[in-house]
Amino acid sequence: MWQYYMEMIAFAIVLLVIAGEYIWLYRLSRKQEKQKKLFKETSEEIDSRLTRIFGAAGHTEQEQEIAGLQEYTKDFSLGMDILCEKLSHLARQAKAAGARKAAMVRIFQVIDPVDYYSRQLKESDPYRQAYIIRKLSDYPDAESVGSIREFIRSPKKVLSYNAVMALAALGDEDSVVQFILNSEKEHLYSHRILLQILDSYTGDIASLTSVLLGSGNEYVRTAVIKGIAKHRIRRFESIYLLGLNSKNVDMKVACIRALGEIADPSYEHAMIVESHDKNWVVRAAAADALSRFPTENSMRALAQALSDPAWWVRHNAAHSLVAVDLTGKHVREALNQYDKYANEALKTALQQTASLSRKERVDL
Amino acid sequence: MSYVIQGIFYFNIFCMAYTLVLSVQYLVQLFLSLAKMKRDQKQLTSDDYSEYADSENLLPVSLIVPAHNEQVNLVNNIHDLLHLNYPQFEVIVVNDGSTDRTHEEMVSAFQLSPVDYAYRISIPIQRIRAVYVSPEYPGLIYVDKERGGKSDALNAGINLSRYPLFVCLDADSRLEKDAVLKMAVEFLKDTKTVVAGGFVRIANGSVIQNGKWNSFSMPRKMVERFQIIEYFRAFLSGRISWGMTSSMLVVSGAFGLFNKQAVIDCGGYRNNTVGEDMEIVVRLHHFLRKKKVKYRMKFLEDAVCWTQGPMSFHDLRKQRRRWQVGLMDTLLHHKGMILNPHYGIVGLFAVPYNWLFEWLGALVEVLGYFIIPLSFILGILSPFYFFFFLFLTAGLGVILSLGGLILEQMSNKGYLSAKQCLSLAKYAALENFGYRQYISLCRAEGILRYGRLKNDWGKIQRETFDR
Repeated sequence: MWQYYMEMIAFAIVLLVIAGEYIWLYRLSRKQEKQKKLFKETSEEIDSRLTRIFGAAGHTEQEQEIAGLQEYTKDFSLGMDILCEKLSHLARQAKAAGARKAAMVRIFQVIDPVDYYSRQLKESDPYRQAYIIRKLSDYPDAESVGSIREFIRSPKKVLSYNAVMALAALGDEDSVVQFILNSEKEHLYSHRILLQILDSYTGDIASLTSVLLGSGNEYVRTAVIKGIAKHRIRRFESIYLLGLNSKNVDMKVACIRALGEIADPSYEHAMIVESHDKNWVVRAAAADALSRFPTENSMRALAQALSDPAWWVRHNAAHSLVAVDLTGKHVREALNQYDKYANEALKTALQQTASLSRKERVDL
Repeated sequence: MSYVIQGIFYFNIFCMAYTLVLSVQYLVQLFLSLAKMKRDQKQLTSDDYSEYADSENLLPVSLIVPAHNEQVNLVNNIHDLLHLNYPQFEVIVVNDGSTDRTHEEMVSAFQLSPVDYAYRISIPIQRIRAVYVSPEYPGLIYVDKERGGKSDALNAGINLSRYPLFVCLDADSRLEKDAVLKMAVEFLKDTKTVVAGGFVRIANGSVIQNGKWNSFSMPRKMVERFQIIEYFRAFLSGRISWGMTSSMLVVSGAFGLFNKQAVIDCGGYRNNTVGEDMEIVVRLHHFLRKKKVKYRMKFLEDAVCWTQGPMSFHDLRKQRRRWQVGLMDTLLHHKGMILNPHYGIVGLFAVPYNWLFEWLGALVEVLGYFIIPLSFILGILSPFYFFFFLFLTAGLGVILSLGGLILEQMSNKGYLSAKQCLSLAKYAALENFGYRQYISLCRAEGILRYGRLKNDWGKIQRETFDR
């Protein structure tokens, strides 16, 4: 008998679960549709209000519209989020002239997105907080920086990561230094994240670099040198030159790139020397850097590198030679020699360069 | 005779217990996936992948598209790929000895011309006849080679690729514009990532244009509707849960992002297998664990690729048979991993699970379809137990299928309206009365005819995506 009852209970549970799932599915679907509809309606309403603000006939009418917009978004977080997103987008487009710009300034004053987001930072959901932190980076002011700073040391990676990205965009040197030096210990993130931070940084890059090169370990210094190479900061040349003697291959490559970007003729010899390094990664970086030294010595070194046993060295040497050999003398000489691999590398480079040039012309 | 009856009786008990254990572990996967999906949806609000869309710090990617007789969809797909939202990438199309007009269509559509192209032979491959490039599409490389199979074509693409990451794509797959971007950012945020798998969705019924989902209407055929439900269950429940412990054994061959050097180091894709997508992942587990390298394999349900499901039961049979043969081939090839603690969670759980449930499950289910009703007819099994077992199995199946649909709705992608979702819910129930049994039969066929089907890909009919 008890078996019978157990089995009936099992039946009932299964049926209940199925019924529960159907109800859950129905509610999820309806909720999604409602959210989609609400988002669309809110977005259209805000667009319409913004259009009326920008098209207002006089100051009084504009103020009334702005007050209306504030009233509409008051206590309506979706509306506020959409409005702030649209305002950021408009501010990024940023070349607004005269009246529109003045209207936007007034909207920012009345709506005060920084205050709204700063209040939202008190939410307990770390992902929502991370989102807010990123949004605050669109508003460069002291209040934003102050609100975000406390998250730079957060044990939750989503918060510390978004905080450093936001603070880099806001130019806060201390926080960026703090984050990068902390990342020395755990290489969870790729060094490319550090590069991304440096690319996002809007403050004095030379000052930031100075601090990091002075305090960071080799991993950090290597990433920083790689990241700032394109800025061609001559102040650190002596560090780059010292780095060429490093046993760390990554450091050597970063310094080669940095010196290659500066492209001072006095570095040509160093690049040619590195193109004979025992490590193919270094030789490949040197071959790439020599594309910025359009001299006979450089072209001879590149022609020699075309016969390198490592594919990447030949590849970079071919592309560099095609780039610097404007008369085509060395290219023709190399093509006429009996070296199948050098030939192939050069022909590929010529083909790719021609394709790119054609595309650039087409794009123009 | 009494031994036979006893045997049948014990088989019934085994079958019931096996089905219950299988269903319970699917339920566990479902609950884990629900929890992770909920967390992932919150995480998406803070996701900043779009900040990297024009960043030179993102790792460049080679998209490798092996193609054999793909004249129907290939050109349109490549056009879409060339407009991917990604800062630096190349598209390598490998024509693997096509006998239709694939080659002519490609050459004509992209104004391709043959060149001398330098590449490294990191992995041995069949002869390459010619490499083509296009002045109008500098990011496109087209390789015409002798037939060697999909693995060989992928290896050829790897040899020709310049970049440290590669995506393996099916010729009839359509990527969403940001799919690769979402996956590639994972490689930056976690340097241990070696593989990232995306969510392959059934495109039947959907219109995908320019890398964007446009609209969905219920496909005409039941077989297509059942597959939609099945993919939700398999990907959203199965892969999410295994991805949580980096122990998934397969990343769909239609869409996966790999660390190229890791794949080269373990020898590239294995030829002579129809399950190359599973085999490479298991081999990576094997290789990396043997080398004691810390690594991660991730599944990202937000990175979406659309593929066409078979549109007939005949084609479906070919596909599912092949998948089962590929599974068996891979498991046999790596049988040293089973219950081997050197391979950690993969050896102790993932591989045995696949043997016990994904491989053996097909045979047990199919035997059950015959022996259990036979037991009932012969009076070995009481009517009450028979109907109870039938109801419980079907009921648990419906719970799992509906769970897949719930996961889809939780993903909040908006592909299905409420009406469409609820309409599909009918099929979540119906698939347990005929469709799942058919799939089990196909899988069992794959096992029983393993020797003959080992190298049989089976041609599946395709339609264009843009209808």
